[in-house]
Amino acid sequence: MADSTVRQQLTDDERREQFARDALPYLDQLYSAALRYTRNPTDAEDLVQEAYVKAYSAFHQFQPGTNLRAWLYRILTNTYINSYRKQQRQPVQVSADGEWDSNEGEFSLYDRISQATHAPAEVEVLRRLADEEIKEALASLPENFRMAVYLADVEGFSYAEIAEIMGTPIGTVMSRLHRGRAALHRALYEYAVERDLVPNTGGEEATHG
Amino acid sequence: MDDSCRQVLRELQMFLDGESADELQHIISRHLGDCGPCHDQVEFQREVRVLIAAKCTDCAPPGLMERVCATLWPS
Repeated sequence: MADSTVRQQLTDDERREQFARDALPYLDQLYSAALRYTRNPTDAEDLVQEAYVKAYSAFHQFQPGTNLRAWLYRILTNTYINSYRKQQRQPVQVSADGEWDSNEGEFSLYDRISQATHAPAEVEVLRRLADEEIKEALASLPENFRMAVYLADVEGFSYAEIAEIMGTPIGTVMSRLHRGRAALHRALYEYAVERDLVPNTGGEEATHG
Repeated sequence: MDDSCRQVLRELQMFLDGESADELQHIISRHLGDCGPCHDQVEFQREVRVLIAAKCTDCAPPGLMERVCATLWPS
């Protein structure tokens, strides 16, 4: 299309102006994602900065009219996976999809809370968790699962967009979401039990932590 | 719980993600209008997502925008 050739003819000033106008407003969102990825505010700031530098230097390759937000997330995610992760201040456990306890795949938060409270589960129970506990529940997931759940549930990306951002097939995205959400729900449930927000039914042994 | 309920449970993730086929999306929506227990379960799952999204969002710290701009365009 004509648009893509136009982009390459931009002057430096025009390129700068467009990037500042279109890409920089995603700073908060990208920082939020970076914080979920790195789990460390200093690392998150560095990651966002590095991702913006890469995005700006590749901005001539971005096709106008396509999804700039997904494009920026892909750069952020690639930057994290390919280079950043190696120099992380916090040790990470990289989990291959096959290596995670498959029990994690089946957990119904709704059923568990309903059984414990003898009533249809209400999300009110979970609203009483501290913000930090909810963040920690997400942070407790292995990286690939944490990223997929974050991109879907917080950022609202589609399966196809997440596949593109993470560089994986859609089937892998779906499986990571399924297992990641089950593990997230399990962690939330365990926080709720610890805080006495739901009675401990003593059924399944807690595996969290 | 009948077959329709089981279908809803099986399809729950894709339905809430808006990734079910249009026809299935429609069938499930209709079932949720008729079935209290499935409706409660789906609403619960939806609200859990809303809660997580609300709690796992942060603003960039003050100064990061300036830092990024200074790196991109050193004066």
